[in-house]
Amino acid sequence: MARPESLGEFEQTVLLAILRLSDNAYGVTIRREIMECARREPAPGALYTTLDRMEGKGLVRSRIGDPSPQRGGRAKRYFVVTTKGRAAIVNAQRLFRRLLEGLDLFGGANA
Amino acid sequence: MRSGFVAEWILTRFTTRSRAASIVGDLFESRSEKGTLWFWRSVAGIVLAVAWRRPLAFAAAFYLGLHALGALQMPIYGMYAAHRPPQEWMPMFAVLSGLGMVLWMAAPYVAIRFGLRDSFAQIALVFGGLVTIIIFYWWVPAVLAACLVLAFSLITTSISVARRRRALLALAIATAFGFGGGLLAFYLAGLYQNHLYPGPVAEINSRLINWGVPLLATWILATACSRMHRLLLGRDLGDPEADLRIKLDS
Repeated sequence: MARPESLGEFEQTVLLAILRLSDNAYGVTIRREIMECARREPAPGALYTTLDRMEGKGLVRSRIGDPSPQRGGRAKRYFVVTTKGRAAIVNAQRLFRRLLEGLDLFGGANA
Repeated sequence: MRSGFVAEWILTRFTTRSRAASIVGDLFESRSEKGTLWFWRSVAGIVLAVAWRRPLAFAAAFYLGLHALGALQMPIYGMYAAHRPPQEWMPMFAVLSGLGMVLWMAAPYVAIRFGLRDSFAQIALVFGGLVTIIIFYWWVPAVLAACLVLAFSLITTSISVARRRRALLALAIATAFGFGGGLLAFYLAGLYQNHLYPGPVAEINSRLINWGVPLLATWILATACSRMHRLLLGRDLGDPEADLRIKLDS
């Protein structure tokens, strides 16, 4: 079996945002979701290059939606996480869980 | 509305048309709450994020190409004197060193632009390495045979895998353009030299040729590499170019 793709921190953030948005994940909503959940505003350049790179790796797939007047007649590009992307994020989160086991980071002095 | 078309036109220089349109659409949607300044700052940020690899890749190709030309021609003429192969081999070695130079321009260019995991970059690096070994050790029969067997097996295995087949085709076409571009650059420089006259301008003119020839050759090769990668290995399956990729795969 092939080893799941290793992910950077921002790649994980973007993948989780796409999963949370299910079938309404496109540039604007992904940015908004990251801003609301992670309390940080991703630079548009970083977001689009990350999406492009992840699509190249086969972690996400995109499809073009219908054009709308509020976007100047331009279509949205919707993203969905592929099976490979899901496996990669599950693997990354499992690794974090294993490393967190036995640590009391959320209590005591670090809380 | 006009700014949208301008932004889309700028982004299309660095990415596919459909991708540029969807990005500008996203920025347009947020513009009403964030303002025009944010819109243009975002366009500039995206261009910078998408395009920083291009000038770096071009500079690396230019520098390594010049370096490779010198490094590959030295052993050919140096070792020729020592080992004296038949006279007829010389044109073949001259072509081989030109090929090596083109491959050592293409390899860093595609490796920086598209990453080391890209099959185009990997194939260019392997063939660049093989040509270099052949140039340096052509008189050792075992090394020469091993390189030829490796090149042949790489070609045959690449043909059976769709993405590698397309990468091989992209490299072949880009190399042909690079080689032709180099010859064209030298030809143009030769024509230009006929119009030189002695005097203070001659110094400027000779510098123009010294820099202009490799710059023109690098530009032709870089353009061929980018176009071939986009046409044969591009990721955007929403493009009409994808039809060609599907045809090549089947």
